[in-house]
Amino acid sequence: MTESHETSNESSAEAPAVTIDARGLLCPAPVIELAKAAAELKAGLIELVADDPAAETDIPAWCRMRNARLVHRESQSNSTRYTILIGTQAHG
Amino acid sequence: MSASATGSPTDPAVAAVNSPNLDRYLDAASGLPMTPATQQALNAAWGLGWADASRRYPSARQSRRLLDSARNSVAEYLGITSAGIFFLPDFAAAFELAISGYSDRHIAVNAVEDAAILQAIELRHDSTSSKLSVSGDGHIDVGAAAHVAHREPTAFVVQDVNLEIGCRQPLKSLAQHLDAESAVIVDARATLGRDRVSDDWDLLISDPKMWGGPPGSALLAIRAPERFPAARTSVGGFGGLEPASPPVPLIAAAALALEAATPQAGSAQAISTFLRSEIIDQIQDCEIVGHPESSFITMFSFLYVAADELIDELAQLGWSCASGASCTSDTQRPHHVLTEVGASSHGSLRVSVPPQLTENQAAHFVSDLTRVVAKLRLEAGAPNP
Repeated sequence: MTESHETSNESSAEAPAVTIDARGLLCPAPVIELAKAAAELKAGLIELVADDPAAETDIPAWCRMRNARLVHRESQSNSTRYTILIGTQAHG
Repeated sequence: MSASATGSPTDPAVAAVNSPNLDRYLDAASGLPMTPATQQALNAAWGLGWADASRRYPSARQSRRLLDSARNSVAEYLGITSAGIFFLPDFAAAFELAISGYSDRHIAVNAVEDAAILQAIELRHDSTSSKLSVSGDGHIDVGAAAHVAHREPTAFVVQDVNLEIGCRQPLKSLAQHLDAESAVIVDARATLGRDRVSDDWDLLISDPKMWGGPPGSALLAIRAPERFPAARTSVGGFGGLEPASPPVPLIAAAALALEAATPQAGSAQAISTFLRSEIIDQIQDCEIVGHPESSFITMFSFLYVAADELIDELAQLGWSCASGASCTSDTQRPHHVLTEVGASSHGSLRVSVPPQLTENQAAHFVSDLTRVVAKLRLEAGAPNP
C-alpha cells in the first residue's frame, strides 16, 4: 500500500540533485548522510530513502533545525522516501 | 533460629544501611533510592508491622496503628481526609482502581501519558476513550479538553508534570472548564514528594519509589471518597478497595519518606534551570524537547549523536541518565512522547535532577557531556555546524 503525504505542492515534481539510499542505516546515520549531502550541495533538492522508523521524526526535526524544508514524504512498503529542499529557497 | 538471624543492633549486618551515592545520578524521574533514615524506618517497620492488620490480637492492632498513621500522614500532606487514601500493590492497580469509578464516563487521556497507562485505557471495554493531543511543547489543549467534556461526562487522565519531557500541564485551567460531571485523575509521579503538587484533581495516583519510599506499593488519593462511585468488592479490607492484607511496613516507610521529602524540592528545579542554560550555551545543535518550565526533568536532543552511545559514554564517566531514543528501547521505535511533540529522537538524553545535586556537580556534568558529544560527533563523521 502506498500512502502519499504532500507537505507542499511546489518543488516535488523537480528531479532531486542528490539521492541518498539510507536503507539499513539506523539513527543517527540517515541524518548524518543528509547533513553531509546538504553541506556539499548548498542549495537544491535532496531525496533520501530510509527504513529506520526514527527517521520519521528525525528528518523533519533536522529540517526545522537547519532551515531546510521537507517538501514531500512518501511511505513505500518497507521504507519512506523524503524530498528535502535546502538552501535559500527553503527559507520563504 | 540461627545466630545470624537474631543479630543484635550492634551487629554490622543489622545496623548497616546503605547510604546511596547520588553524586552522579541524573535519573530521578525513574525513581529515588531510600535515604538511610527511610531504610532504618523500614527496618523497624518490619518488626512492628508484620502482623495482619485486619486481625484483632495485639500485634495485628500494632500493624493497624502503623497503617492508620501512614494513612493520616499522607492525607495531611495532601490536605484531604484519610478516608480518601488508598494503598495498592502497584501503580497499575492504583490506576485501575481510579478509573474503575468512571466506567460510565468517557475516558480522555493525554497523548504523552505513560505507555502502560495508554495501553490499559485502550484495553478497557466498558467505556469509550480518546487521546488528547498535545502541542509541540507538550501541553494539552484545554479548549479541546473542555469540548470533549461538554459532549459527555469525562474522566481526564493527565500527568501534572510529564515524566519524559518535564512540561507542566495546565490543570488549574482544565479544572475551571469542567463541570461536576467530569473528573480529573492526575498521575503525580513527577511531583508528589518533590515539587509543588497541583490541587486541581479529583483523584491522584503515584508511586512511593518516585519520592524515595520503598518500591512495592502505590498510592491512590480520592479528594471526595464519599462521592467515588467505585464498585465495592466483597473481598479486601478498608472499604473493600484495598488488598485485605496490605504490606504495612512498605506503606509506613513510604509515608515517612514523603514527610521527609518535602523540604528538598526547590533546589532540583534551580539546578535543572542551570543545566538547561549551560548545555544550550555550550553545545551546538542541541534542542530542548517541549517546554520543561520549572520542573526537574529535561529532555535534550543532540543532532548527529546516537543516544545509546551517549548514555554508555556518560555511564563510563559515572553519570546515570535515561533516553527516549529508539536505539535505547526494546521496540526500536522512538518514545511515543517524542513522536507526539514532533521532536527528534536522536541523541535524546533525559536529565532528571535528584534533590541535593550541587551546582558544582551539575557544572562537572556539563563539561563531561560537552566532551562526550564532541567525541561522538567526530567518530560518526558528522559535518561541522
